[in-house]
Amino acid sequence: MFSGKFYLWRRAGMGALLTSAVIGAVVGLAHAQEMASSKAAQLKAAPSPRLQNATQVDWSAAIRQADGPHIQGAQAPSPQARGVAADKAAPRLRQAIRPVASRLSRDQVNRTRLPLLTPREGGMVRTERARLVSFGDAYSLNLPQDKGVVLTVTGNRRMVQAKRGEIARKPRLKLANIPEDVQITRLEDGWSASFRRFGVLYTVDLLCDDAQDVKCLDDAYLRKAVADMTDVSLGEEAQKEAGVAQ
Amino acid sequence: MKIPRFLFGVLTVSLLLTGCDDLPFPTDKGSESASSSASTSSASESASSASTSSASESSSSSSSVTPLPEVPHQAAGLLPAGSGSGYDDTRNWAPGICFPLADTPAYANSQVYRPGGSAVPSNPSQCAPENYAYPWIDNFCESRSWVNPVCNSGKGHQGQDLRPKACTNNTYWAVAAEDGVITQMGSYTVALTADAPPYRVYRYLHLQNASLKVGLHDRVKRGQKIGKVSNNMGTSGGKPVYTTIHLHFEIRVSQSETLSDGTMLAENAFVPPYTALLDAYQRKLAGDCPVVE
Repeated sequence: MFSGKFYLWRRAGMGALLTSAVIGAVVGLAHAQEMASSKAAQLKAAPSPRLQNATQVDWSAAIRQADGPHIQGAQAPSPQARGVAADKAAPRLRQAIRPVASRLSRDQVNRTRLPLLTPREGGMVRTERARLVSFGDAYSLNLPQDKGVVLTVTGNRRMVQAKRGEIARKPRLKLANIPEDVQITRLEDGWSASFRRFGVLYTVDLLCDDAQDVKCLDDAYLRKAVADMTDVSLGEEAQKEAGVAQ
Repeated sequence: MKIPRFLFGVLTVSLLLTGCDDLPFPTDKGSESASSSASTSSASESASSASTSSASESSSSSSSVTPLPEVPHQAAGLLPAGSGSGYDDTRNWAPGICFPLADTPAYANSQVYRPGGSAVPSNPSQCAPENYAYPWIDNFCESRSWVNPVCNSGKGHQGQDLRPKACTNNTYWAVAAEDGVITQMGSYTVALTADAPPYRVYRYLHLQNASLKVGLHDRVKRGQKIGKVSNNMGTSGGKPVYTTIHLHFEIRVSQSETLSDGTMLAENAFVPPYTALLDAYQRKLAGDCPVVE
């Protein structure tokens, strides 16, 4: 049993302890958050692959491809093309938006600041359910094929700098009807091909829901799909940067 | 200066809770039990962390340079003997990302060269305690037949496997590593393309299809729930195929190289996620990356 006076003193002591506990906990929590953000800041400064400026697009080649006869690979630039600037005189563009791109969200097409590479109309790649999302300097085009099979085309002109020799030492393929060297990789759930055209890095992924799907047993289907990626469209942002007039 | 303040807070709370047992005056039972459970949870995490930390890690936790919780781990690129060739480029390829699992702890290790994996037929239980324990172990470039030029052998595993908090299927959430857009959805694959350059692509494999909270081209925020970690591996010949319960996490980054003659080469390559994941995990343990529903 406690006397009333002792009880009050003890209660006051507990109150003080409680107050300092709350203050301590708040300070501690704030400090934990501060630690997390300071670590994040520290990481940003830590060595990591360096992001490069947007690569210069070979707009002349892209315009030739957009306007040209869409024979596989016929109008594509040579692999040695190094991002030549647009012609001094504003080139004319007869058809900025090819048929496949005309069925995509115009808003997304217009936001895209690179040549929008899509399958050619009437080719082997189905395009009726195609959907596009643009990130400005990159885009992703989703192309559902037969049940359980999806192709995704991405274009990207913002890259990080690879170490010297890192890409050069990797194997590349010369494929029929494709002017550029292509890298083909097997994925856990499909196949992927990437190549550089107009200064832009394009990737075509093939995903199969079923591991035994004949389209994913080897890379033959993907190779044909890549060969069909010949249509080029230029949305408003791309046209502005290319300096073209319609 | 700051750490003692933090420790002061923790110690004071501990003292208070210890003293609360014999409080002679009426208490709010609800708040007491809430405090108790917080204390228990915090204490068990500390105990677990203390029991698994090495001496050097414990001592480094008192350093003001690396204040984040240390996580027992093997070095990046170092694979257990016989499991693969490893790799040399251990840079952080995705600084600042959100750890892709909502709950901690989580365990980075192989699904093949551990109990329950095909290389360990003597112990068929994927739920063996050693699978759900530190240290973290890298398994990017683990032996596979797939081309992966980053690997010393030129072939290997293209991601990092993460086991969730416990060996329970369809329970633990995978979350978005960065703000971005869902750009691929397969039967057991979800890909997220980050909004910001270089537009990294994060691929999440083996999610439970029925639990997915995202659709194609949905925008997601860093930390947002995507789907639950499962053993789903799609189908083969029309029949369901299963793996162990884990998240296979991949990072793809667009890279370029200019040769001495001015020719530019580019590739969209799988990069080792381990360093980025370890850092994200440490930040997660310190309170970074709250889960977004």
